Amino acid sequence: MRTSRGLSRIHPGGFTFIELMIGLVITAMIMAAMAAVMTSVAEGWQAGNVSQSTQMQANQIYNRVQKILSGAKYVILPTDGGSGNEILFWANDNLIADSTVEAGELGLIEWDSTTSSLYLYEAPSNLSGSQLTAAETQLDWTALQTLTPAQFEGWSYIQPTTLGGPGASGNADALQITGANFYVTGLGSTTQLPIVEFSLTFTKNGQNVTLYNSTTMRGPSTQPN
Amino acid sequence: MTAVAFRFPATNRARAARGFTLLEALIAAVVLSILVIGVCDVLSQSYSQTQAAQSNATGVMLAVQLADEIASKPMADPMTGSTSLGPDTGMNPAQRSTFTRATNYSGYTDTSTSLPLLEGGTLDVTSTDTYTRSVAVTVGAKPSIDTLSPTTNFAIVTVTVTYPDGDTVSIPKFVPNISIQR
Repeated sequence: MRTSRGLSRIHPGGFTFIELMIGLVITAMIMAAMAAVMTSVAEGWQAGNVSQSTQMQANQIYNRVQKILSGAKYVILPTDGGSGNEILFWANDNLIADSTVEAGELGLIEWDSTTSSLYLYEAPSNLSGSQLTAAETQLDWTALQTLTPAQFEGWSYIQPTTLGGPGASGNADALQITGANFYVTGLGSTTQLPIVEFSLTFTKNGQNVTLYNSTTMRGPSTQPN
Repeated sequence: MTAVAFRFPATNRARAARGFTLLEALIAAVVLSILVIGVCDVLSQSYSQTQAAQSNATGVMLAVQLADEIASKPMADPMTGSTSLGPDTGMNPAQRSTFTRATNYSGYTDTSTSLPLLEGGTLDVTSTDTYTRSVAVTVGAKPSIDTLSPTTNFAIVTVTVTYPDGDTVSIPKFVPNISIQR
């Protein structure tokens, strides 16, 4: 069993008060410096993660938009040389491969400012019955020109898919799409392929990132009859 | 054998009993700080790598966009067949929306903080970081061994993006001299 006398024999010297103070001050200075560095690194990481996460999600959205538009046959809205935050297009000639536009072959990419999201409206591939019949309705250019995005969205068999943003979930932490612009050029040209130029503004944690891109329509059609 | 004797061998007992000196404590603090600084350095480098990857993605996206846009146009003028390099007379060299052929883009340059849009106007797509895009076009850059291909048969379009830190990425694009018919 140890006694207080025994303990004092083990540590007869130890630090003086001044030594302790100097040690504490030096340690505090080192800790403060380390804390500053760590805080700086952490802030950098945080900003980097937000930015990187935004960039990655934005790239995914871009790739999807690009893939959809590069395969489009023709753009109905906006008109050649025009721009807007929605793009209505003849997506493909797959429903009935007859070089004419059927209602179910149309697609719409639309930015919704209310939900800060980007949506794709299109007919699903598994239509049947009366919906398939309606989707196979042939549309001429006059009908296409007067077709509005709201009318198209209202067709019973047209279904929305969220391309980016919180969508219907309304998740405030999700990447928000706070702006979109689509511009079409070269639709009427016979010497160059049409280009859809688009820019999207993404917002996350108060940070805004505007990304710009364009896609060339690889196999465009001339204006449908 | 007492607990104290077990912890400190007899030869070191007297030394251990004295405790640490200020010098020893300082040396320990210095060693500790070196280790922590080392860890911070690793974290910092990791962060830099992340930034570099992001910067690279931005640069490649800008390059691909322009290369793709150029490839949407014919190599030669649809009317005259001209493959001369650079904008035609009357074209604004800074306004690529007026270009009608891939060879018009030769010498074109722009910056990401004031990117000219095809629609008109400019857009800042990288805020504080400035990426510079430039285009070089070589017509008929065939290998010397190829004595058969006509020199105006194709063009190699190279889009180079210079990053804010001076690094560059180049994307070449092959543009054949065929007319686009729709």
